[in-house]
Formats: sequence, C-alpha cells, structure tokens
Amino acid sequence: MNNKKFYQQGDVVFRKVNDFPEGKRKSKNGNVIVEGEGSGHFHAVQPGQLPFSLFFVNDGFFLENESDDNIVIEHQEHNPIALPPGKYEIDKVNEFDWKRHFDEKEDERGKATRKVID
Amino acid sequence: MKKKLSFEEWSNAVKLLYGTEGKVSIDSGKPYFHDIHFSKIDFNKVVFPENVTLCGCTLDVPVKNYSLRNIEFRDCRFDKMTFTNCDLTGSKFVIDALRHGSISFDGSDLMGVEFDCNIENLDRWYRGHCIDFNFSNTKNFNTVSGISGYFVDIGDFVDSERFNTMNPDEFANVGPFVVKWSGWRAYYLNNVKINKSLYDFLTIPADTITLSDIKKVMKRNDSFIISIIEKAGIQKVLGAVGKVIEKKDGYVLHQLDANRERMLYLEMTNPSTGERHFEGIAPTQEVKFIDQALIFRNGVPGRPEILT
Repeated sequence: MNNKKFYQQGDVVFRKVNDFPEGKRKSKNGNVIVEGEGSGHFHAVQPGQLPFSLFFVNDGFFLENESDDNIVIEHQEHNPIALPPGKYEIDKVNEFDWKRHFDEKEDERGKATRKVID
Repeated sequence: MKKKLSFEEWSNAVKLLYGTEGKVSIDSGKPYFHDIHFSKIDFNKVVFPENVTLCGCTLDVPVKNYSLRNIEFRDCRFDKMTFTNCDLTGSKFVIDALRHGSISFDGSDLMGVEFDCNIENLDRWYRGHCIDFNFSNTKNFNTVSGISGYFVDIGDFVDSERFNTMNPDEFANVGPFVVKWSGWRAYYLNNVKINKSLYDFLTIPADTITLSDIKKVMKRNDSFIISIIEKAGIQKVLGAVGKVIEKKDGYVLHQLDANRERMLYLEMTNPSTGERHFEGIAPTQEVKFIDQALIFRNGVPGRPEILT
C-alpha cells in the first residue's frame, strides 16, 4: 500500500488523491460532509468557504478544494482542520466490533469490521 | 394384580433381599426405608406404601404406571431414573446436587410435588456433577410447590405444560436474573445459564469493581467477555487481564486473550479533548504492532498530516 497523505478529524479521514475515479458524479448539496448517526454532531465545511465540491462516484465520496487556499472543516467535538487545495477521498475510520464478532455464528463471522458510528 | 404389603412384610422383604445393606425403620410413627437399592424390588408385583421416607436409597430402575404418592425422597441416588405415567402427588424430592444421575418424569403427575435441592456446592452443580431433570409431558406441573420464577432451564421445561408457551426470546435482553426454586437458585444472563460468580459480578455497582474482581470472574467466565467489558469498562478489563503489545507515539496496542480469541484494542488520545479512548482492532495475522493497527483503522499506512 502506497503512503498517501491524509488528514483526520475524529473518525473522518480525508485521503489525498491525484484523480477522481471515472464514473457518473452525484453531487452532495450543502456543506455537511458526514453527519453523526447517534450524536447529531457533524463534520462540515466552514460556511463561506468557496469554491469546493462534494460528490459521490460509484461507492466513493469525494471532496475537491477548488480554491487557492485551505478550506476549514469543523466539528462540534474536534478542532477545525485545514485542507489544502486538491482532491480528497472521504472515508470513515474502521473499528472492529468485538460484540458483533462474538454474536455472529462461527460460520457467519467477518462482518464485525465496520465504519465508526459517531 | 399388585400386592399391598404391610409394614412388617416390607421390613421382612428388605431383610431378605438386602441383609444388612438396607433397613426399614419407624421414627416418630413414620416409616423410613434406608439405603435400599430398589433394583431388586419388582414394582409390578407390589404396591408401594404411601407416606414413606426413602433415605439414601438408590433408584435406577424405570417405574411405569405406578402410584408413589406422598413419598419423601431424601438424599437418594437417582441414576437414569424414569418415572413414566406415575402418580407422585404430594411427594417431595430432597436432592443433594452432587449426586450424579438423572430423573425423568415423563407423563407423570406432579401435583403438589416439592423439590428441594442442595445449593451448598452450586459451583460443582454447574460443572455437570448434578442431577438432570426432564419434565417432558409432565402433568399438573403448575402446582409443583416451591417453584418461583419463570423457568429453571429452558431445555428441561420447554415441553412441560407450564412452560410450553414460554418464548425464550422474551428473556433475551433482560440482563442478569435469578430463578428461585425451593431452596435452589439458578442464575441467568438473558436466557443463558451462568454461574453465581458471574451473576454476582454483573449485579454489583460498576464503580466498586476492582481489578481483582475482574481477574477472578474471568477465570471461569471468559466466554462472557463482552458482558464483563460492558459492566466494568474496557479500560479496567485491559488493566486487569490484558497485556500491552506496544506503546508508541501516544498509542498503546492491547491484547486480551478471551473466549479463544486474540482481542486487540488500540488506545489513543482525542487530540481535541485530550480524552483517551479504546477502539477494537481486527485480529488479523498482520496486526502485531501499532503501525498495522493504524492501517486497519485509517485504511492507509502512515500518520495523518493533521489529526484533530
């Protein structure tokens, strides 16, 4: 695995990419990047930061900072993070859910790795 | 046609059959049969007397279509004993839990029957050194005295009249509870039978749990590791029974060997709040050090340019 530059705010990872994958883009409106499922907290581009775009391609979620300056990502529980101009793949960190692992039947195991639920 | 023997006839028969091994006596006007191995008595030919106490007797011959009313079975040894379609109305079973064997009450009438089991060695009971009960097709089970709670063992009772409508799933999320049965207790976590030490652990206030408590409960209950973690918290459990694999750059990789698994946890700091937290890591072959644990977590090797 190549070393990629990445930035991390809590459970959200912004991995620098050279290009976006081929495919139909589906835009995500607004400035909220990821919303917490349990806490109601969210990672969002600081209002007034333009231009940037958020979109899905295939199964991936991406952000492009199209400006010449950093854009700032905010979150209620984490300090702001500044992303330099460029292209990013957005992902959530993985965790291994041991409870789920033991709850699964022996032959059905393997679903315990999941994206962190905030 | 079964013959009804007088008490003297029973006494003589026992002397004849058992010599000095067994005996019949009367204490306070009540007849007692002591240390008799009933294999030599043909129950097809005699009527068993009522209001008798059997002390230390051995019962290992199946009895069918028989009346055994108002009999006290005290510290008897049961070995694959089957009462089929018997009338045990008003009888009492005082059972030493350490006696091996099994009793089956297939189709028998247990109107007013009382069970009183010895709980002094409950730990051994759970290791299988006990009597297994089978109440399949039991009649009048509702009236068994001394029973409280909903069930003793789902497997044992599921066929009985009282419990055949019970849905074990109802107990899937009720947490730890006790079933009281005469002088006997059974401990459950949801619908799974557990031992007393785990029950005690799960019901004491979490903030009073010590590392020593965790070490002790883990010895025999590591298959309940998730419940133990949920009760005590992962930090305490790792502190008591975990081992540190590596410490580096503010990260700590912990390993907890439980339930036949190498449970890995990565301890880290939230740099925004300073709070330490623990995250589960997949126990793959590759994960032996913090760097590999971080690859699993972040999906890429290395460290972030910025982490907040």
